[in-house]
Amino acid sequence: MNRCIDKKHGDRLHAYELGTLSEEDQVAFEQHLIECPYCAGRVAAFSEVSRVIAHDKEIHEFTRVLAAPENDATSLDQRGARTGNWLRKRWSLSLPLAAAALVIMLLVDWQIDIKPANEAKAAENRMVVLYSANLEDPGDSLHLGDITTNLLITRLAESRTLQITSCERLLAVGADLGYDKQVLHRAEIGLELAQKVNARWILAGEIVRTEPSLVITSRLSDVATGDILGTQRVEGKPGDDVFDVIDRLSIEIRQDLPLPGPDQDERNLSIAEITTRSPEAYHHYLEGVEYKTRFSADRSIEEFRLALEYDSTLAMAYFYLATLEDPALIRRAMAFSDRVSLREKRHIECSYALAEGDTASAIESMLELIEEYPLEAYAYWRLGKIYSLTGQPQLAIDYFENAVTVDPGYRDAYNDLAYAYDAIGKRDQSIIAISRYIEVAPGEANPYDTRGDLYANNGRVDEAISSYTEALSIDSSFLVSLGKLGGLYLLKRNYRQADSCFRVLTLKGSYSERAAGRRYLAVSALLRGRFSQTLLMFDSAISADTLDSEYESAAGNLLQKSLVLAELDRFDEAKSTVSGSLRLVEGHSLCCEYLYRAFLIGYLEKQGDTAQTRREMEALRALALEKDTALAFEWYAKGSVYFDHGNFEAALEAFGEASRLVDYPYFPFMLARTYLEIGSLDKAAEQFEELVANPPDPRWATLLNTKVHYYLGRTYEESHWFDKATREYETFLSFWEHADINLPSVIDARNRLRAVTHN
Amino acid sequence: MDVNEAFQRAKDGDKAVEEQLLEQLLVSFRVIVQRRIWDRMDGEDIVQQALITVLGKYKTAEIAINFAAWAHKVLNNKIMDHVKMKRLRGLKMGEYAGQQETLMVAVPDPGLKARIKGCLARVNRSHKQYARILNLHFQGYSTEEICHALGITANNFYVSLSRARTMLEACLKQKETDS
Repeated sequence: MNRCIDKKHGDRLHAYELGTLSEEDQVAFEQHLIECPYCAGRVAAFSEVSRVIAHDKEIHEFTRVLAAPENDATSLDQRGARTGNWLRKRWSLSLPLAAAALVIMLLVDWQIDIKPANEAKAAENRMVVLYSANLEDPGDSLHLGDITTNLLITRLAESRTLQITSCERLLAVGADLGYDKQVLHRAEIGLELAQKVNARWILAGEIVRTEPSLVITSRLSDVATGDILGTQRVEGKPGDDVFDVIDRLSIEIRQDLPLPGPDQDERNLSIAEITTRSPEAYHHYLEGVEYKTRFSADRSIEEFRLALEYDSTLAMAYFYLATLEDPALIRRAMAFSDRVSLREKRHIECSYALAEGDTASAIESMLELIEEYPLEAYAYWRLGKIYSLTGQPQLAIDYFENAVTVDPGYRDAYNDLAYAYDAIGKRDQSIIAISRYIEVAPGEANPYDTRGDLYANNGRVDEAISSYTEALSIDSSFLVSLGKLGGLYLLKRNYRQADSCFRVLTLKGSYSERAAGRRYLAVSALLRGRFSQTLLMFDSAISADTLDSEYESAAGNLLQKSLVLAELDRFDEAKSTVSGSLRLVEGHSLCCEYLYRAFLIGYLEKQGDTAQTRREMEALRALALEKDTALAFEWYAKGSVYFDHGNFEAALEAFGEASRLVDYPYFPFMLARTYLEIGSLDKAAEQFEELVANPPDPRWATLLNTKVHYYLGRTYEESHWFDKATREYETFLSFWEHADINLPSVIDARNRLRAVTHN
Repeated sequence: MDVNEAFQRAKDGDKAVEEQLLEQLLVSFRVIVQRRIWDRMDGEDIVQQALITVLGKYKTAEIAINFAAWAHKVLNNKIMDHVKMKRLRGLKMGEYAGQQETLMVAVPDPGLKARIKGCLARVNRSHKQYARILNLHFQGYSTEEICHALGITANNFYVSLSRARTMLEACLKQKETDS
């Protein structure tokens, strides 16, 4: 029999294999299997495959990655964080901010960089193209030097047998050696640069004349011997523009290169076909790239926009704008992606796939690129980044390692490698990786900042403080380090130093850094038990955030304020405050509605508003159907309700599920509190101790970080470990002993401390 | 030949048809048991016992609805007996699950998982709903909940899975040929 006897049942075959049928439907289908040899044969032939799909955890994880719409950045982040210490992520960003940042990180393409290769092998075919000097106009007022150099690099880099060092890389290496861009065309400096990047050939060019027609000459020489391999001279014909001249020049250069025959895979497209026909557009595009390399996003955006005014089909301008400004623009880049180089095309495809939530295709496009250009370090780095953000640190490490093998000067790859090693607990290797980054770029603040993160992750607070301070001494405008430094001072209870860092942040930082500074200042007051001041500071932060259009931060501050109000038993105000977060979420399409809704449910339950609680639970359920992360918060909300009802068994299950799904500190905190309630003291202690050992970011877990000492004290006390209990109560009271409001937990801790001291 | 018709003819004494019927039952029983009993040897025992029961009783049993339903009932009873017996022997669920894990890990073809991943990625390019369905299913959502989440009917749900399976099957065959 070669077909199914009943199509209705036949359609359910895969549902049966996967186990999605109801019991009744399953019985009906199995009866169908007995009647239909065709379906029985299909199930039998596919049994191994369906078994693997239905039960293999790795496949489930892979499917989760594929099902990108569910795979929002927050959950990716949190899954990634589960595999290692969560502190790093928490120090750096709050949950809503992290979500937004990670979406950008997934899309981000710092630069399309044609990087050099494996030292021994790639040096054979690696070439440095020096900036072209403009002999007719030494000031190069029309930027022809820049334009011709970049066009030449783009054109030559289409070859699969030739490795070209990018302008950005050359600029960075030049800066490390102390040279300005203006002198990079000089022969002696060019030679030093070429040796530094381990190139075999060096190409130096000059613009001899621009009128009546463009004339460019170049010299190709061997770095090791200094021998001139060939000189080229191309003169534009009537009607030719710079693009035509570059096309002809690149052909001549290729002919002089001792490469093993023509590159069979090379596309035979002119430079204008893979860039633009407009020199003005190209100039603005290059300016945009340069500003981007210097992290000047606003100027960069401006230049890319100008480029598009001259040529609205310049795909790479859309590509960069998508990373800097509007992710939706990647669709425009994709629409014009047949007008870019092959490498750029693959990168656009990758970003497009990521924007569409199609991680698998993004991975595939990078793998194809590596197949076409095996020494494309940037592709390895992007793969590492994708795997890192999808919670597969070991794979990420493999690709980051590949990236630095192919390009030993690849800074971002060292940086991410260090974080990835740290995420899987290989602390020594993470420090080695960051030390390599420092060796490569001793004048950069970022590796010191990363090293600070790594030390902070491992509880080496003093070393972390030194590292952040070093980063700031290299670059005082590197305010990311300042925020982290302040955070560590908070940990050490050096409030004066901490507040000083945060004040600078609120004055000198970007919008988001200012928002972080304001949050920190409120947190600093809260840690000292200045509740009235904390509430006022949150109010002021919320107003300032709104003025700065930092709505994510405002929503987060409203939540933090609501937690403080709940701590003071002001649940009605807490409820209305967190409702403000939800209004912002709805009004500005912000992330993490489920987070705010889960806490709202907790407050409603405290007030006994059952009807409203039910409605909110239904709303949360709808969100949970869409996202893993929301599902965790649904469990958390359920757990809170069970906990308040004294149904600790159900609460235990709910908080356990939430903790299993997402790494969010309130989940294990409430799980531990439930263990304490039912007398599972060892498990309670284990969870509380973990929270004490790895305190979450104080910006959004200050209350938790403080109260955990109180509950851990109670756990020890009930376990009759009085010494330990004493220490925890003392720690707790050291925060809030002199609070401006006498909290029940403080009164209780005082009484308990007296009692355990007598024991 | 339709199984119910084969049953009637076998009941009337047609030995060749009886053999054919048992062959057909053997295939379908194995398929059903394999999905529910992880231990292959236990599974084969159940299939053989069920076939012996069918063979011993089909001529005399009062089959009210149809033969397939009756045969399924026989098999199902054997499976349930087996599960009960395992429990009586004191094999705790945890241990049982652990045993399942061990059996699962022993995937005979080490390249299979990689091929499945590759094909899932390929299917996902033209049929994104499949991964979403799988993902929700793995998280424990019921068919009804998944349909609600994706805004599709149950029929669409089954057709969608069926389509994806066809694509997956073709891709796996292709990959097998390539390798």
